Amino acid sequence: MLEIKNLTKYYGDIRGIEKLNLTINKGEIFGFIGPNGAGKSTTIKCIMNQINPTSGEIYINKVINDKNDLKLKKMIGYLPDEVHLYDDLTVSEMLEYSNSFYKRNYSKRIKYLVEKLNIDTTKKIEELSLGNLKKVGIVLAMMHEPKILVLDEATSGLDPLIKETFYELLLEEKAKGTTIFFSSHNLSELKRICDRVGIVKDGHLVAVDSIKELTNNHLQIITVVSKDILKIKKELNQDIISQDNNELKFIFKDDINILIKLLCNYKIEKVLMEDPSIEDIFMHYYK
Amino acid sequence: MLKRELKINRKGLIIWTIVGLFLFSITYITYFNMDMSETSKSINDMLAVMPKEILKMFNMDIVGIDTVFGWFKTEGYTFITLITCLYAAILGSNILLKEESDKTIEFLHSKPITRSNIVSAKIWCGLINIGIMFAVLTLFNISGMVLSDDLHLKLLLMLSLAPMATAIPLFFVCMLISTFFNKTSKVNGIGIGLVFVSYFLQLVSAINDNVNFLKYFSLFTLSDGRDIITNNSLNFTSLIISVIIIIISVGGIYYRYNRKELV
Repeated sequence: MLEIKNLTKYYGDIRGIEKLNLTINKGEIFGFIGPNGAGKSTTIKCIMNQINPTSGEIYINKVINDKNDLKLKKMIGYLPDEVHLYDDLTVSEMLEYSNSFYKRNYSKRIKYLVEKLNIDTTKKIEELSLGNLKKVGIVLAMMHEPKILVLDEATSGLDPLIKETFYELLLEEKAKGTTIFFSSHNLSELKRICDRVGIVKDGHLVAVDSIKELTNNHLQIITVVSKDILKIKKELNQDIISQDNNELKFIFKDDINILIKLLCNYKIEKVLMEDPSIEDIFMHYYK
Repeated sequence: MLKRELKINRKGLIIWTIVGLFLFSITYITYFNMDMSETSKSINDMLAVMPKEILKMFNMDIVGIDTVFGWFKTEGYTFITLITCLYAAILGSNILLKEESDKTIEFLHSKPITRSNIVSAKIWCGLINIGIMFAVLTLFNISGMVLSDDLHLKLLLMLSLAPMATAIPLFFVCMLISTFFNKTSKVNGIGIGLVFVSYFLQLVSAINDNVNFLKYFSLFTLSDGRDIITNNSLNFTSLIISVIIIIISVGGIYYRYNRKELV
């Protein structure tokens, strides 16, 4: 449904993203995660044709994503990280204005979303809190029943109850076959709703897999307590998560027997082996 | 989208038009209440001691200001040109760029319209607003002249509408300049600066023949009132140059905006 091929974007000499390749299938919720400056927003702006890629292409339904192709534009719903709308309009006027860009009348759909998200449509845009503005942004992105939803930090500013409603809406969309590109910092929500997750670092996609596979890729979180912890640490060549007095916590990515052999040489007080959480995986890729 | 654009820009249009109407009203009221036989003499005495260059700058060497239409042909014409050009420059600087400056372009650009559609709606809105401003000021001045019993309709219409030959190219030039920026603050300064530099160059070029060439660097030359007053007709060369500037600017706006990074 959404295919990104060798997408590269440089801002002068500064790298935005480099040779990013990604295919997102119809009806899939794809999580896109990475720290600030990793290239998430650049990727989204390229998908939305707000900026021009240095090289590479984006395809939607195997058609090149041309900014003048109105058929493609109708297929996409977009929720930016920060929602900026026209302050002089009321919510209801804003929604009507958005509806005016489509030949079809989406008032029923708008009404459904407004009720679901509990939005006061009589308020002026300038009076809205950040969370309420985000809710209006969600309606604007979903009102025309798009085939692809591009969501940038969709839940930031939303209260927990509305977040739940929003996840429900996303799952409804997924059931209809909508493809959802979901950029987020919130690992637990990605774990909850995404089919697959892509981790972006320094402009490169460093991992793409399902949450299940990512957390089951032979990585282990090891906690060792020993008076010889400094010597053990020296011999280990692994990603250290934390060190506190005689306790060392690290990600172990090799054959576990190697670790056991190594630990046999020291006096160990305690060893704990755990499966990694999504947070641990994220940290592993980012160290 | 055009309807929405007209609504957004209505407030600015009303304010600028009211400023224009207010200043013309003061002049008409002043002339209505003047005893012209005495005032004419004192005005002529005052003009007699003024340097010829200064009189030439405001066309007062060829027209007296002892009548309201005489005032209109000199200072009134300069005033219409300045106020409409300032409005056109500010409108051109903001109309497209404001969407980016306010970041509402993220919403607008996600809707099923092309960038060219956005530019077209903004251009039409700008032209309609400038047209309305000229129409209101012209009708007001016709009424003022009728009440003053000093109506010369053909010349009044030419003088009232000729500043469009500067205002409209200025609108497009400022709009084109705005496609090179992402914030309105800088472009506003450039637009207003362009108006005053143009005005200054035209004034200076009138003082001395040695610097007469400076008028070719001024957009105000495109609607030179002196030509209209002396020839009683519009300068078609200037009109053609205006049209050429408009065509080049419009082409540039569409080209630039379709390639612009909307960040």
